[in-house]
Amino acid sequence: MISAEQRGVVAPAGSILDLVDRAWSDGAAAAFPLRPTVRVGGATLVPVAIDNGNDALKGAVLRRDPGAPDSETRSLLTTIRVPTAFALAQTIQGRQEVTYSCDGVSFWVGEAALVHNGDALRLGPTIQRLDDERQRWFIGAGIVELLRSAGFAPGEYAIALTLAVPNTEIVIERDEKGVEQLTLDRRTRDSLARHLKGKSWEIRRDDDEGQPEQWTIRVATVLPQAQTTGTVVALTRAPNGKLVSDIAGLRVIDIGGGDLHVCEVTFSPAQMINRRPGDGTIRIARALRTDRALAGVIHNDVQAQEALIRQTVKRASRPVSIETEVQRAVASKGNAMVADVLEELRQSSQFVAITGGGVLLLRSLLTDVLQHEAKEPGRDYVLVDGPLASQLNAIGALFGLIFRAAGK
Amino acid sequence: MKQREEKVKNGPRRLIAGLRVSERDLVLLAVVRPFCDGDSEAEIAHRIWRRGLEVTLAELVSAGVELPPGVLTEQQLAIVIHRHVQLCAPLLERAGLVVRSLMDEPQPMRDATLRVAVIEETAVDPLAGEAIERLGGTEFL
Repeated sequence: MISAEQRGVVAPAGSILDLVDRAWSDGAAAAFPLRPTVRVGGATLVPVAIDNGNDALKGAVLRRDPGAPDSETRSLLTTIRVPTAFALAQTIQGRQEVTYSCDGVSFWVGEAALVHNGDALRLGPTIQRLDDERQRWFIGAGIVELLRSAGFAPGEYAIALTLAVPNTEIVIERDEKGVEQLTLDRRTRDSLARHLKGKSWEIRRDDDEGQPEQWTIRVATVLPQAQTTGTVVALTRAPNGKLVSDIAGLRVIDIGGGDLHVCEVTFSPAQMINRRPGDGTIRIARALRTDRALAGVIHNDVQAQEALIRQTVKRASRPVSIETEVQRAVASKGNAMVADVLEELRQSSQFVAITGGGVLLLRSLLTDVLQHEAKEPGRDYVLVDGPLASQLNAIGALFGLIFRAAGK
Repeated sequence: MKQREEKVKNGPRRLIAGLRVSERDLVLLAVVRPFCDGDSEAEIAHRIWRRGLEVTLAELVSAGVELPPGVLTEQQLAIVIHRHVQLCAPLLERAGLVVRSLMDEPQPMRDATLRVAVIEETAVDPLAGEAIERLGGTEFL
């Protein structure tokens, strides 16, 4: 069941995770024998998955492979990661930044916002985040960037949006027959219905040469899914939805930007147990932010998270390597996180998936200690590494949406 | 001579607007002029205006506006516009806005979202959808 070769990830053979990892390891785009649209309520829609994390928005979409013969159904996967930073656009003399305009407001997101001391967007539950209109503009701009990256031309698109929501916003309710089922928390549902269902973003995108594009993104329907569902789908199912693993459950250790999160999932009957052993990589980022050597250089959490990843900052207009400071912060706070991860792994009688953007930062610490564990990669656990670590939930959620739409 | 023949074919012309053209547009016009079949500035202006009229009509008819009877049919307009689009295909392709294979075949659907929908559907295991539902993906809002 498990592919033997020692690539970055030892995943069940034929799983979505396995196929994406193989393609990306070869420097190729991941291709799937699937159509790139879904039918929901009689409409043909572009399926779009968004995992709007505390540190970055991750997105995934399929597009028909332009190189595929007409007789063949083949779609290519595109993903993006946009740091959760936002700044109102300013007038620039000289080279422009990529600027978005929506509802009469011009703004920068991601890298451009970070360069210009942008703000970190609000953390917390979906309801609090979506109440902030900057968050909604940010998501709209993220979808534009995702479609653009996939090769869609500027224009109007009707999308089926799946949003990865915190696991804690999936609750148990009884249906009309009195049967318990996992479903979306009412407050989250109300928030998504108010802010995203039927939402139409009219977004103008001006590139760094000032060339304008007009995009209209209409959200025809929203399918909320628990964040962990993405990992479960990517790890256990093939692109056509067939099960490729015989595991009956999974413990997902998600080392995210905001939270270190653990979710125990049992497939039948469906159960989900969530806990939060502590903060995610934000605890390393905050250690970096308060490092005396970097006083006044890093202004907020999102800048600190990006500095951790890039290991450089700008000081007095010069790029400066902060490799030493990052190593110090990872050594002081990262070891505590690795200890939390190891405890969860050792205690688990389930198969374990260690994933999340934080894996990239803790990789060397994790691989060192995992080598001395009795548990074996592939048989007992999978360590999702590389860009897949942060994007797995979005990729899995995209397939979850496609499966759910096909099964309607 | 050719100009006179066209006047006979389309009937007499009437002056309907004096155009004030910007410096920027004059630069662009200089690119067009050597390739534009016209004996005078007025003739070139008329040809460019005529092309703009055809494109605008095509946009409106696409959106459901009806053409006046007895002047130009939808089929005739489609043929004219198809020629324009074909001539623009290399530019659109270079800019990554369209793929030639899409241009070469009649496409009954009108936008990129719908074009991709003609691909034959691959069967998805219906049990996968149920599994998503059991994990809390219960409803399309």
